[in-house]
Amino acid sequence: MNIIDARKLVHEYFRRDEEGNVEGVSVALDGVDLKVKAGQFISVLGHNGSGKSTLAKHINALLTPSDGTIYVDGKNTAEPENTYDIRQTAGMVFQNPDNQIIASIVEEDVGFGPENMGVPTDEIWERVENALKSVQMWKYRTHSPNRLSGGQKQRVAIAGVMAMQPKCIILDEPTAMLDPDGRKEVIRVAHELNQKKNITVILITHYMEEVVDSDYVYVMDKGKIVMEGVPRDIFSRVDELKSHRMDVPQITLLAHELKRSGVPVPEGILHRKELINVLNS
Amino acid sequence: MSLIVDKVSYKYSTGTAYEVTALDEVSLEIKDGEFIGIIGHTGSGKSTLVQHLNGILKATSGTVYYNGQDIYDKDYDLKDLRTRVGMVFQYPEHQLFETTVFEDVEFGPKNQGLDEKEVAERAYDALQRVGFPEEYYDQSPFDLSGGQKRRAAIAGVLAMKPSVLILDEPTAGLDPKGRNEILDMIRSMHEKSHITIILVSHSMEDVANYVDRIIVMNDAKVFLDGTPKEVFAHSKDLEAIGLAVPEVTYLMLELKEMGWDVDTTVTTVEEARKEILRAYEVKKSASK
Amino acid sequence: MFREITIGQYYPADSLLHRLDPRVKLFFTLFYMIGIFVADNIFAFSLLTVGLFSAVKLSKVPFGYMVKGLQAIILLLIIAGAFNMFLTPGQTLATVGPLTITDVGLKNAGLMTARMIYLIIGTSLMTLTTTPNRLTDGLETSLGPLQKLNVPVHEIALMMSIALRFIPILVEETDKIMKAQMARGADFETKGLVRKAKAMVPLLVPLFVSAFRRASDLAMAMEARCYHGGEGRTKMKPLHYSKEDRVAYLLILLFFAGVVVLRILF
Repeated sequence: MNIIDARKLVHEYFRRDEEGNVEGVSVALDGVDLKVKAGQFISVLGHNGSGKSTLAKHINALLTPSDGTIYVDGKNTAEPENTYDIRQTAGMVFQNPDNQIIASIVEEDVGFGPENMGVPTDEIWERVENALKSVQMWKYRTHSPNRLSGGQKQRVAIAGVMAMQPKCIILDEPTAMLDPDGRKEVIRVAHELNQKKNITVILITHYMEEVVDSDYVYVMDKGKIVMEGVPRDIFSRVDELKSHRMDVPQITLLAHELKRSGVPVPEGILHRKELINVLNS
Repeated sequence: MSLIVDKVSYKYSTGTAYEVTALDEVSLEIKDGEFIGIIGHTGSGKSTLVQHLNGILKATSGTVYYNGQDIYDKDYDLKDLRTRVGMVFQYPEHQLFETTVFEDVEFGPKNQGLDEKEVAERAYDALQRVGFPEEYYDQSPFDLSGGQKRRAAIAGVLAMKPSVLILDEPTAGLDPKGRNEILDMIRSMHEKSHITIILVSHSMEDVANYVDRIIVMNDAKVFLDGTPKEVFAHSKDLEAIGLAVPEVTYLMLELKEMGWDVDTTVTTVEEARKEILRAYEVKKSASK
Repeated sequence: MFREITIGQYYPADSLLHRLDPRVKLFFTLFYMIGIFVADNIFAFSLLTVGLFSAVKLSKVPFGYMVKGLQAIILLLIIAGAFNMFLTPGQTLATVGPLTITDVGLKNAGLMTARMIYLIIGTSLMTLTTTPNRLTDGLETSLGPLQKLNVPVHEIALMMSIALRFIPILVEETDKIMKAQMARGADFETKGLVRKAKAMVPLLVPLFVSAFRRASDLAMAMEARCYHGGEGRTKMKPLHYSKEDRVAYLLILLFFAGVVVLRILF
């Protein structure tokens, strides 16, 4: 069964002038079909304003469809009584690490979700411990978030979601505000949760390097899914990616350029080693 | 005409358990018209360093000279220095405040005490130089996209006609296309007007393609200083402090180890393509 | 510029005072504050001093760190002290130019300064040893009965705890905005009320815009984590009185009684 199943999802919002009168309608999502199997690691790529964050908010029932439907673990997000179930099933991590940490102590923040769900005290502690250990932040449990690095704060935010024991985690541009080290930390942790805890991960990003190890990649532009496939397939379509305001990693681009110059190199090279092997053969 | 940083140290929270040395006897010279990238980790001291160049932070010890004058002299006009050494901070949201983009860009020249006509001319000129679309001049700066906000913020500093422009992480939060557009814009500005430009960044790959000189900061000190090729030749040292050289440089290093006759100082995809192509032809004809 | 503010911030350590129930600490703070104003002679103050210093010692918070919080109000203390000293009528002790120091003035100034300092150290002791969440939990439980009068106790407590978490973030942001505007020639040190107010606009607009943005982000993040008000919520750290807490209550009452007795006796 698909843990996430979006069918012809449409999201419109009204643009209003200063008096609040409707000026026009903007379409943020335009007939999106998205199917994610449990246990997958999928990525949604797109430039700023492509609609990818709007899509993320639909998976968490923070927004509901203007048209079309989306099921999360078989539950329709449009039904208000499903809201809290969906938010427990599909936890969400946001872009700005500072604006999603509620408490002044790491462990208290991780406990916030379970507290809201009405989990008994003893179990909250258990969950907090497991969650913090799963992102390697256990030894920081009594620290103040303000003294942590960006990557560490994002890991705390992930732990906050993990403590709700979700089946799926949506990471909405979790690395956009981090430095290269922090970015690596967060992506590594996301892959670990996917592999060790069998959590379905949906990574929303505009950094191409981060999606290389995904199971499946969607590319969005103007509210539509414009490309989809395994990373190798997506990365072999360099010119198409560029037309959607996306970049490709240096190695992939180099392989593409070499091929154009007549060197027999296949498209969709993802890693340095692959290119070296090809060149040496 | 240059900026000289002479043995500058900067400490904060002095006298407490949290004392931090953000800069440790840093010395540098920045000449007119240079295009420099300052690279380092969060906490390496790179942002602290540039904040000394326009006198917003005052060194705990050491001094900064601008055009031969000690900026810490009692009668030195720091406000004037800030119009000559312009600085754009990381988040445009931290400086945009007026009701329209145009008025916001006028803020700097107005503070310089220029007359109304001159102020408007400067603002117009600055917005043109950063390629800001004219139809948005009267828009609220809060409604702009990330890339346009960044342009408006840069224009806001350019309008003061600085001869040095410092940009702290000008591409943070932008998507790849937006990032390239801003960097291209900065490069063409440098080519046209020859102002000194200092880019502060933690991304080697971004900067390698653009600047003429890279200063690597680590642990409050200058770690490396030279042309991109000179700096990337120290790939092992860079890795030791957790900074990566561009992927293509690694590729060339590995190919060289395998006996390919390639130049390992390559830093861009285009250079790499040419090098590999050249070496590939040599190899092919040799095997014939 | 603002990094050194310690008032209201939590100081992590493992001490008896950190472990005490927040309700006990609230109770202590309340009685201690009353005690400060009840005490009006050297004996009562000596008892207060002993009480305060043993509490500071028990908290394991470095005394220097605590005193740093006082720096911000030193000027205020000096001015208020001077006013008291020079402007209170009484028996003249000394004359400095046009000003006279009286015995009552000197006593009042000393008393007032001591009270202010004790007040700040005492109250910061509570925030230094109690995490904002525990503090609000304590408030929430202590004010619990008001819930019946439809006072949104839980919401107020949560708002307080979020505010405390965001103070350092917004302070840092203010610093960054000031730097960004100073780089554009803004002058935050201009004289004159109107000009000063005008000079604050480039600082306050970005700060408010950012604070609103943070608030809306935070609201969304809380919703995503199933927040839906206080109903049906459980607590990770529910409040239970331990033996230490009961002993502490007793000590506080004895201490307060001691201050009252000393005031009456002398």
